[in-house]
Amino acid sequence: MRLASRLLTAGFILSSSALPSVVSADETTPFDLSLQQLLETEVTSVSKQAEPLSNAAAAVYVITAEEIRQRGFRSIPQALRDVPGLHVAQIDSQKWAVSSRGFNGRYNNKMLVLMDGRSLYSPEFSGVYWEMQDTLMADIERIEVIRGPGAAIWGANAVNGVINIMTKHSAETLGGYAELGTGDYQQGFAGFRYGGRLADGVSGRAFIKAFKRDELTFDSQDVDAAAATQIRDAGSDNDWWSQHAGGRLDINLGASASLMLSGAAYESQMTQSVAIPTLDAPFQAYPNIDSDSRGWHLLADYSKALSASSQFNLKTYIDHAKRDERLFGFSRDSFEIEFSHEWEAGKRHDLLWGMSYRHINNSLTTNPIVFGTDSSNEATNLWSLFVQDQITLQPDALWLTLAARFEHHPYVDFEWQPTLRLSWQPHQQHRLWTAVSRAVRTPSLVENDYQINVGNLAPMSTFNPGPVVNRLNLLGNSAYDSEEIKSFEAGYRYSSEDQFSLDTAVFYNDYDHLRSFHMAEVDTSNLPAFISTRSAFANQAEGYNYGLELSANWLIADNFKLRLNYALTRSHFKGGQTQNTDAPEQIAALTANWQLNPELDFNATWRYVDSSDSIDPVQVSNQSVAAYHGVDLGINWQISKQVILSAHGRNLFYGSHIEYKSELFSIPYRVEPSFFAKLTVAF
Amino acid sequence: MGVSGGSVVAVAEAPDSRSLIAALNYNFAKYAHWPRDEEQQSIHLCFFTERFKQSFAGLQDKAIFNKPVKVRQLSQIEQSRDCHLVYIDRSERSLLRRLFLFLQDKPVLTVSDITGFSDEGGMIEIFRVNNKFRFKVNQSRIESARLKMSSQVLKLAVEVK
Repeated sequence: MRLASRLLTAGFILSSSALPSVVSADETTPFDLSLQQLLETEVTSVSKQAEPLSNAAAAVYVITAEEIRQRGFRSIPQALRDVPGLHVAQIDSQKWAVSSRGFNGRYNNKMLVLMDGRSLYSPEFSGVYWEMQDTLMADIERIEVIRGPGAAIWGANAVNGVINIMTKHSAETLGGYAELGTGDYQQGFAGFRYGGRLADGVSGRAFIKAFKRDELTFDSQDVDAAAATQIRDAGSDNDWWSQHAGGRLDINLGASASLMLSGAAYESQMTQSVAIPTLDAPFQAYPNIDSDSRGWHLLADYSKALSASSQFNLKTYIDHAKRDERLFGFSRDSFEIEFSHEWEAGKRHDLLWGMSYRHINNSLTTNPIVFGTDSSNEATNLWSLFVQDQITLQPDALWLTLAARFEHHPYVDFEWQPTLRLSWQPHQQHRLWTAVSRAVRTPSLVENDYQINVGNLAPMSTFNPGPVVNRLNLLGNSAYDSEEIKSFEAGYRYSSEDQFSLDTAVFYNDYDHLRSFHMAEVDTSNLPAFISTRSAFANQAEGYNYGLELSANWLIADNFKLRLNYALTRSHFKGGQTQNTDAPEQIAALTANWQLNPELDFNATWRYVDSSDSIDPVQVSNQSVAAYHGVDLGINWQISKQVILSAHGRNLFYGSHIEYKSELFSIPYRVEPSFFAKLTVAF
Repeated sequence: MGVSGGSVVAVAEAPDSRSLIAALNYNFAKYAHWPRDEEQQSIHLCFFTERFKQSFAGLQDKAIFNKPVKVRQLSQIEQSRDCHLVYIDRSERSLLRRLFLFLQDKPVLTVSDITGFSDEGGMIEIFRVNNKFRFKVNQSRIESARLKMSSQVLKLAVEVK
């Protein structure tokens, strides 16, 4: 979906392209220089020219390859951390919760994530396993974060946002690249890539990477005394290592066609503590267990121009993911094929339409905690058709975008997800946009026909006055329907000639048919051992949230930039909460970037995250996490043309703190200040 | 830094890299010959993104062999039909296939800073080595489009093929 991606291209960041000091006899412009003089002009510092404002009628933010390099991001969640309107929290050494506009969690089901057009969203539990999504960070071209519904183009589950991770064209990664680093949390990491031109119009690259990361700390003060004793006895290890290899090939097929092939494989070995219900006192155990995940994918993306105004794209991939884990183990094979066609029909209409088919075959590990009604594999077929028309109502000033996606999902039949967007440029320096959209979150496999034993109530306790254990089970429900959002958004962008730019968005989201539970039955067939209270998934909850997000950039001097990202979210939800509806009320990040000289750059980020709540399926009250601050510092020193030495500190000056308490089967861990050093060699 | 015919003085209003790219395009146009170019009234230099608007604006009404330069920002590929030179910057890689298809048999000089541009069917590829601009020329594409590039340009290219 090249056009869609192009339409949403943000480019709001002040340019980091270089400013040359031109050498000449008199005060002159570069147009007076000869070709030879131009080639001898050295480019030395940062430019003052602002990037043009994005035309996108959506809340878009872009993380550039340059920012990834300067700030030394080691993982995708870390790169997303200071994006305005995103709440990114680390759960343990491996696990992350990432969301926009509320509903955060280990299984945040309302945000779609794609890498080069391949869906990274896991349909088993609805969410993204961030620890399994990785690549060589230096191969990422850009990460586009779209807040708000993106379902009209990208499909179901793009309810509160879409994250598009795009890797570099292999012509951009010729030659060798190696990185090596060590620190306290980042105990060791290494990466190597080599790219080359294989023939005329054919370029490729291959990479390998591996890392070992230390555990986060468990503090017995963070749980009750009984649990603390058990966790201490069982251990709370959560360190892990991972290895990853992959490559990409870009082939030109004549003047008008191109083919991109990519593939990768990974393996991760993780240790984690889980909180699982038991039938014996104290009715909860905290085993420290190993888990292993592996996967691979192959992707082909073919583009062909039919004329100056028309181009089609055919993309297909297969993706295998397997997670060996006591509770949430699964094995999944996905296949997708998508055709899309963009067509500039005359001067007014920019059309994009397409269709896709996805086949998913998955099997879940059945265990006493998570078990299916039948143990056979589950195959799902998804069909969809999408169409978008961007209409120029007034050239260079007013655009209307109409788009809709029709999908067929076996659990919910047909869904349609439309959007209407209007973009207005009253002046070169000002842009305004507004959008109305509907999107859905389709049920997961577990919500459809599995059972989860979320907790056991001790006999003679507050909520279980009876003499036997009460097992609390959530029951999948094939009548359980999609969750729905109607979203109203507006935004304003401003750019002064050269020094200041601002991007703001406001939203009001109305949610209906949100997940709820209703008491289905009390099963007494296992008496006298225990009783089971089964609650079925239903769609009875609803609510709304609204908020403001902004990103402001100042170019204070040629070599000094400041950026403030801020989000305010207010949430109002009714009915029993079964997901973490409420976003932290305020999140802010202030980043300074200072290019001391051409060889040395320095960056500092201060962030603040307000207190947050997450549900506890057994307790009546929510678990809460206190607000926290933190500072990241980074320095990059270009020692020679080939070698860069970097040092980074993360989460400094606040001590150890919990960022997030996961909603299910997890124990709280503390994030601590950490440091690492990295050596990068290009050859 | 050995600059021919100049002493080392920094320009008061220092241009950015985009102005330098615009200046490179101007120089390529100066040394290019189009079929029947004696019949042309003006030389049209075109570019694709808003990003280059400010830099190319400085070329408006400059002259190449006594013909005025006209600068034009393109929003659709078909508009490149009337251009002598088209500059496409790296943010527009997704337009390349359609652009090459459309310009296949047209005498339009194509210039870009997209890596691999000259291999993929473009004519002049601008790139940076150690903070200085360099360029490669795909001479066979230039010839097949019935254009001629002066040896003044070819001798300064890092690669001519």
